[in-house]
Amino acid sequence: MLRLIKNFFIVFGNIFRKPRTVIYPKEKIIIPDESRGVLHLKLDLDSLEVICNGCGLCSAICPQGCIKVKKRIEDKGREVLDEFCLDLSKCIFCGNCVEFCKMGAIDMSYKYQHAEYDKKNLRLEKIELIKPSSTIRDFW
Amino acid sequence: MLFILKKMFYILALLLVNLYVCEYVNNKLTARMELRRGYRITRAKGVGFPLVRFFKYLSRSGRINIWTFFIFLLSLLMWSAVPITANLVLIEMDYSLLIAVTFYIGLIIMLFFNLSRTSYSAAFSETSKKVLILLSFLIPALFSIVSVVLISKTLSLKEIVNSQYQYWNIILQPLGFITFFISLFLQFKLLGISGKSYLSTGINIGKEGTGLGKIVERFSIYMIVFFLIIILNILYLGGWQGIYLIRGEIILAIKFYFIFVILLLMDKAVGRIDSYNLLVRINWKFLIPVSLVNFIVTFGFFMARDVYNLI
Repeated sequence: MLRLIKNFFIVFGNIFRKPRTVIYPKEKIIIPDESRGVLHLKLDLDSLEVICNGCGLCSAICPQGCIKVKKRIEDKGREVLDEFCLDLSKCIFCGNCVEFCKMGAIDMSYKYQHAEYDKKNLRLEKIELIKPSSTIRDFW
Repeated sequence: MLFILKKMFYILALLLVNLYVCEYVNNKLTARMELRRGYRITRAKGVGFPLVRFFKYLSRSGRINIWTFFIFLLSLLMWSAVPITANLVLIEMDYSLLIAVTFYIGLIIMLFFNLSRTSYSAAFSETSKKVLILLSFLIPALFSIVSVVLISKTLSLKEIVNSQYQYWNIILQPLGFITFFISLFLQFKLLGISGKSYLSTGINIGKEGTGLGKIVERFSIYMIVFFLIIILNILYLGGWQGIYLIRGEIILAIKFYFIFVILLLMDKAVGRIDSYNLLVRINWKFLIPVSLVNFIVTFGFFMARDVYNLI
């Protein structure tokens, strides 16, 4: 009974509080911290090359199998990333790839708007994943 | 004839205006209680929401079955004997309470069974459950009504209001008021003004139909709630009796909307009643015994005062 009375006053108080929801395109809220958006391939700031060496661990660990990695070996025997393909239509944004990457070459951006007319556009290639996200953690 | 038509028009207009306001208040307040903004398609804070919703349903389908038609008819007929104010009553009679309650019981039984569309395999168990649920909130309400009738010694709703010129019946019948109010609240919750319950719709909760049939069902649900709030006002809260200089009609409207908002608040505070056992436990272990005790005490008082002249 006491809980009921407490709930009653909480509900009554809610009438005078500011609503949590916003009208999306017009009003915007701050993206929550640590929210997961599209993958981003980090660049080495000195050489401006991709840190990823194409080991394929992210591809193996991905529960949805949405990452495809291909590596090539250069003349000096150094392994470098050749192709990196992310299928956004399958990705569940679990963040396993970021967590398991030994090189720390992947992180998650705050880019979240993925609506597309064509499914082909959801397949992101290496060049698109290298580009810094235009969405920063500010207002939507 | 013209006089009756005029009254019918007034009653219908009053009901429709109330329906519009209550639907709007229901939508807006329910959303604000959940920290949402509510319906915003129409301008001016969603004032046109009920109208938009009405046309949305109407555009889907215009067919209704015969039971839905009877439900519509009963929900209008219910108001024939209920005096909304002192003069605004269609048919004045000495047994208005009896007639009104009969219509109400008929309507709620039809509505309750029409809301659920059970498969034939589960028809028997579902029906028996529904009968038990219906009885569990109808019996306390009826006990409370009979107790008030015993106190005021009349079946006319007008005379019941007039008998409260000194004290409202809530002072003489607090237990009756509580049981009637809880019964009203349970009906409010089960019929689903803001959200449907599995107990009233059965297993096919998402398949209650669209179009005109849904409008009629929603209309009759509102009519039942309006009817019960008006009856609660008449039986326990002095009806349309004015307080000091304020007119009785205004007092009645204030009380009506106050109770409606309280019901909405309680609806959100309690949460959905989807457990059949919980509902039966509340009703058969609390509501019915309390209303029965109230009835027995009142009956004893009635016998001592009016039959044996002891008091």
